[in-house]
Amino acid sequence: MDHYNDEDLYIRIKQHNKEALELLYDKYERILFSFIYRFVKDPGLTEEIMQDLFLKLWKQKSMYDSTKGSFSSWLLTLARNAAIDALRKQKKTEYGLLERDQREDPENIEKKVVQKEENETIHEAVSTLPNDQQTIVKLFYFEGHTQKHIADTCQIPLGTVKGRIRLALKHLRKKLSREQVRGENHE
Amino acid sequence: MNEKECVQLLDYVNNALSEEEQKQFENHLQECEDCQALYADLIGLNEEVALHQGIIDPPSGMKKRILDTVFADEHSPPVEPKEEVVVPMKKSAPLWGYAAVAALVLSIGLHVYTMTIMNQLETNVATLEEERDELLAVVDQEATSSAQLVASAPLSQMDSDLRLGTASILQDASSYQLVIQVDHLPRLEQTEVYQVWMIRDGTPYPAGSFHTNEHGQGAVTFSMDLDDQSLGEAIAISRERQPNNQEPEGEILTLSEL
Repeated sequence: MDHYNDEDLYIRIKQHNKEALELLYDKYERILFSFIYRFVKDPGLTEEIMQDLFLKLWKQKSMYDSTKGSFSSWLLTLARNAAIDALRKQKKTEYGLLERDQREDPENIEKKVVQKEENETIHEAVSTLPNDQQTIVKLFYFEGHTQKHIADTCQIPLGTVKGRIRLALKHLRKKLSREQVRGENHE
Repeated sequence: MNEKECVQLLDYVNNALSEEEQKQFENHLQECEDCQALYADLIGLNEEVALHQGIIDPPSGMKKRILDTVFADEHSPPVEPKEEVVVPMKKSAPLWGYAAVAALVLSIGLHVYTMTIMNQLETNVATLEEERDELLAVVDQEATSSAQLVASAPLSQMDSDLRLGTASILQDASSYQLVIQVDHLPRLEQTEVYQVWMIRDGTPYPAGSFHTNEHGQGAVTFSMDLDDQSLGEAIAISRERQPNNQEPEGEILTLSEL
């Protein structure tokens, strides 16, 4: 099972081939973990989300086909959706209980610094955007808020949210792809 | 291009539409080039992020845990109770209903069991779980009705990946049983107690309390009415100065979604 591409592995997974799932897992474990963690910032929750994701794959509760774009793109979209859903649920549960416990202890601050280092490239790219675009990228992409929530928070008309995101996205992707061209390795 | 439909794109990407709205939007997406373009850009951002992100090491053992769970249905051997597991309670089970047996076993029997027999075994959560499952399987055989596992969630320490224990919900003919089992909790002071909370719609409800032994292990079972309202969305455990608080006042050690 040496040189199968994602689509091949997926076909074999649909045929209930455990080796194929394991190979796919090995290929995507660190990418998915880091990616999902970026949204939920909690290793335990990230693991749960990854577990659900692979359960879904194995039990074929989510179906991929080539009309949905590349397999990796589809997988990441699923992952982000799951992360955003978890964030939403978490907000409901945490209200009231955790507000009392929101003290900044040194351990937390250290964690944030470590996270910042991990996020460097992304963080850096986002920080080069104008402030209003930074905010909107954070609210829309990293926190998964609705258009209405974003409009209310930023105090802009609903209709302008999309345009602002389009612009921010354009700049962000340009910045990120420039990083790639320079050949910098951030792993 | 229908402005009314295009405006749904952002919410579609963020999974914030109802199932029906999603389907409607997907139909629109097939026909609207404008939306297709922005949609592709937004999805593309995922790949850019994944490509340029710093890689964070997953917690150790994660692969095994995940794949074991994923493949669990395929080949779980029937659980066979070991002799030493049965010792504390087989003598006392027969006439009582499942709830009483579970409560007895888990709050006293398991306590005794963990302090004596567990000292001889490796005290990690995986083993505890195995033994608990076997315990429950034996109790199951003694009971007049069989209990089913409805839900289970790992209990992790706040802000870290240290696994503190497991919460399980079992269902029998007459009630739900919330079974909490922990390892690695900090030692309690004299009057202190760990309290379990069932979170329903954001509000914590008392769901049992327990002490831990000197190894930080403990277990408790809590009975709930057999109706959907009983089950909440999350479990929390807090450390309280005194038992029977109606809402958490002390430090919250774990908050885990069901």
